Amino acid sequence: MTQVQKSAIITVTALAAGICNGLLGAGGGILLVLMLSALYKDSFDDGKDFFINAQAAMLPVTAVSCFMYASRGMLNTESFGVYAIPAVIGGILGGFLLTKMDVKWIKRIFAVIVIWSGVRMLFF
Amino acid sequence: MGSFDSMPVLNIIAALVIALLSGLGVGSGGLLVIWLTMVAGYSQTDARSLNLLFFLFSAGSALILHLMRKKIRLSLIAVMSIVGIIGALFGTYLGIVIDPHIVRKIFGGMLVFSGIYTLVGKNSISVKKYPSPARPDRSA
Repeated sequence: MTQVQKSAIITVTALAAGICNGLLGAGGGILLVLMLSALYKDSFDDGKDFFINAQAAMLPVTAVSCFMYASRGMLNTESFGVYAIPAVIGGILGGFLLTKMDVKWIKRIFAVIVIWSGVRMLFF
Repeated sequence: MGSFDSMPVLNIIAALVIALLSGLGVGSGGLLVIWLTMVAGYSQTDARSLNLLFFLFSAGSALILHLMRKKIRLSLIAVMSIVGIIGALFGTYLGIVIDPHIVRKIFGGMLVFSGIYTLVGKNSISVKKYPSPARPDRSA
């Protein structure tokens, strides 16, 4: 695959990931994980890096979506304080666990969550 | 429905588990939205926006670890993020002019298919393993 083809696939997938987040509120990160794992099999050291880099790319996208909710007065942070500390602690624990867990287990958890997200979109 | 403050311990445990999944990089499948709407009594809109804010905290803190371990490809992420932001703005606009109901069903079907492929596909989400270089012969 040429560099131009690779860049085109990255651009189209990232655009689709953003649209999914803006339109459906979910699913963008899943697209990025699948795209990275298809394009970068040769150059990433570890399967876990696909998850890490997809997560990092979705962070600014989520920040913009969050800002848009806030600018419309649709972000209710009144009682979020109780959630903020568990979010940080859980996030750090998850990041640490990612370095320790076998990638095949992370893949399985990911697959279950992807199927669950799909079922949720289909039926709920 | 009880208020958010009525079950602080349960709320904290749920938040910890969901943040752990988020920190693992596998996402949470909207579990927080379900928790906030069905257990904590939030409206769907409030739950969705809080879910986004929650992800910023949980994934953001995990990301600091990965940055320290130099696992992040900044140039690749910059491209994906900038294009993704344009997509998100466009997606938000699309949500106003079209009914996302049908798109949601189609994408849901794709996700189920992708998830099953990831679960059963032998080469899904894996890196190519190359044999390590032959150890130099030090006996000479």
